Amino acid sequence: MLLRYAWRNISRHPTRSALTTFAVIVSVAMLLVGHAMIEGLRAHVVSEFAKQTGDVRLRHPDYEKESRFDPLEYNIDAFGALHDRLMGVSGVRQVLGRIQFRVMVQYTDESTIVPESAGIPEDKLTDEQIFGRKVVEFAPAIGFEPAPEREVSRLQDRIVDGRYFSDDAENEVILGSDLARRLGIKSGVDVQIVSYRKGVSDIGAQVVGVVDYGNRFANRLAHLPLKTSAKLLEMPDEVTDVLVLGPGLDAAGALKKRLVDSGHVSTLEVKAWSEIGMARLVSTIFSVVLTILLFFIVAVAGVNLLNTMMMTVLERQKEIGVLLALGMKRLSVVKVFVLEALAFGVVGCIAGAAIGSAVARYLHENGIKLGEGTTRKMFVPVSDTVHAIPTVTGLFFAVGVGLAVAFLGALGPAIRASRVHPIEAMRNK
Amino acid sequence: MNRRRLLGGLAAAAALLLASLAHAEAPTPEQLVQKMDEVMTFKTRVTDATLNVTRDGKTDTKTLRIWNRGWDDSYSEFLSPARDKGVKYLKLEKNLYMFLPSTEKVVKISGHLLRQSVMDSDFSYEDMLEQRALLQDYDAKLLGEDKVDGKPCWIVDLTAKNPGQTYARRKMWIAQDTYIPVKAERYAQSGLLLKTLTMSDVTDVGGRKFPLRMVMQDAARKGSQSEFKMANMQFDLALPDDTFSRRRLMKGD
Repeated sequence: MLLRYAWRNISRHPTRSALTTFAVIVSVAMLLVGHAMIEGLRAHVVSEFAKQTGDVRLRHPDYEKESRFDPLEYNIDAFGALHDRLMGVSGVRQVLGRIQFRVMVQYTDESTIVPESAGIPEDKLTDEQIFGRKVVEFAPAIGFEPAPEREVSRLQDRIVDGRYFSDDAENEVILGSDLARRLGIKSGVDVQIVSYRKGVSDIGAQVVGVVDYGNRFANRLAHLPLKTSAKLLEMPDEVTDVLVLGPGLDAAGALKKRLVDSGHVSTLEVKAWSEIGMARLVSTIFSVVLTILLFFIVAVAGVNLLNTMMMTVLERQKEIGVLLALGMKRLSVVKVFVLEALAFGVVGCIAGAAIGSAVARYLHENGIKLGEGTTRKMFVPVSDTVHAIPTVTGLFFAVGVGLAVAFLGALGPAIRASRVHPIEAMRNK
Repeated sequence: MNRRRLLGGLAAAAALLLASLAHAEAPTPEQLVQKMDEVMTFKTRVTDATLNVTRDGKTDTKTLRIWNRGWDDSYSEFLSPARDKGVKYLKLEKNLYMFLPSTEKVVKISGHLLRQSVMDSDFSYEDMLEQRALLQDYDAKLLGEDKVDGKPCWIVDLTAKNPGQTYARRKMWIAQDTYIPVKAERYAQSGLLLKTLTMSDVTDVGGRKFPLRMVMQDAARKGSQSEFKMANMQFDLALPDDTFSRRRLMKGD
């Protein structure tokens, strides 16, 4: 009987009811899409981050505290032998060595050189006319093995000019797009890579590709084959980072334990990707963002619903007085209003979930461009196109929040309505 | 009585004379620095040198040959070890160029690179570019006297006139007999000791006293010191015009 009464009330004010339902629909859909987007962004950042760390990362125990200075003296030597030993540990799919260091990249435009045969005395010539026009940039660099890293770093997917390293690459370099732009060069140009470790040493290298991460920090990187880096730095068979890949990021903790138990890494710092400072930061940032998003959506939907229910109660004071005078129990009055609100909630949640799921699905397939400014300043090389990841958890979360807001939004006005004295209520105009 | 007065007057005059003579012997800090610059400056110099860089108990030795024209211009060529063989530096006043044989290219050492160490030593490129005319950039003050290796020295404090100097303050121990700066401490603006340079093995070279050994310690490089030893030094030779030539460097000659 109460249900029928509640339904009659809803149908009596179709515009108001539609607006209230619309607020729930929008809120639930926003919550679902927002959750899927944040999940997508988190997964994207984590996977990009894991490209830097592997599932488990090994380093010299003193490297971390000096990492700002690229302390190449704290390296891992005899990498070849370590690689072979680690490949024997259960669950290890791949073992990759990398060197992180700093370089000076110099491009020389020799077209400005005035030949000696021109007969111009040296004191009349500028440096550009003698040595060529030099463009110099200091940059962070990373040396890695091109062939095995192809499927791990997926660098080739981000090449915007030229190509990825050849498998047996030597004296090849791939530049981040910002670095290439500052040097004013494209692929195919020869540059000089200078290291100022142990004095100054250099190699000549051809720029085979330019890569765009959509991120300012990563776009300043110079990528070199590991053996070229080792030659430049005089670090044969030495690396700064060892990345171990196993069954997946979720199993990184177990993989770390097996590596430690194997006894092969006892002198090294062993960290699962999730234990590395940046991963923890990323996780915290996303939790905070999700909480803020949830708060705003709940606030918008709740205030909307509360407003509607308050209006409903105020408009129907007389009617409530008549019902109470006829003997309707106060609890029944509360039930009527809560049922009305839940009706908005259920309809709104179903429609919101349907619309939100469709939008999230679309964003999963096509992604959304956040704009270069959004991800460019992040410390992890993150693309500015993010694909949403709709999940069942997200669906239950959005529907649950929608129903809870509807219920709680109606409860206050309903209790207030039930407490009104019948005579007072009937006098109310 | 008159004789006593006369003797007293003579004693007072002698004391005054001695005091004024002693005063005349104590040079001003500016004079000290100027004299030190004169002693350390030459028209031209050619020398062989060995750079021993010791870090954490391990020593790397490099040999080189250096040509100097005053303190402004120099050309140096590394002769060993194999990894450094053929590396050349050309300094022309405040410009420093480096030739790298592996790519046969020249790098101009400027900006960020100036603070890097020369061949992984305790010397920086900024140290290489130092001008000798210290009084142009620093105010000098005499702090007193001290002994270094048993030899009496004046201690001169130099404070940078402008904030742009590599070292905001320097403290120098100048030998009283040779005017050679046997010890020098270099400080940052904050008062932090950055580097200590000592000069020793003062030898008679072509009629002039000159230190053949320098040891630099960079306080930021724990357990490190760089010893620069010179041999077969010759002063005031007539050097060919193209000795300090950018084109010569470019060709890697």
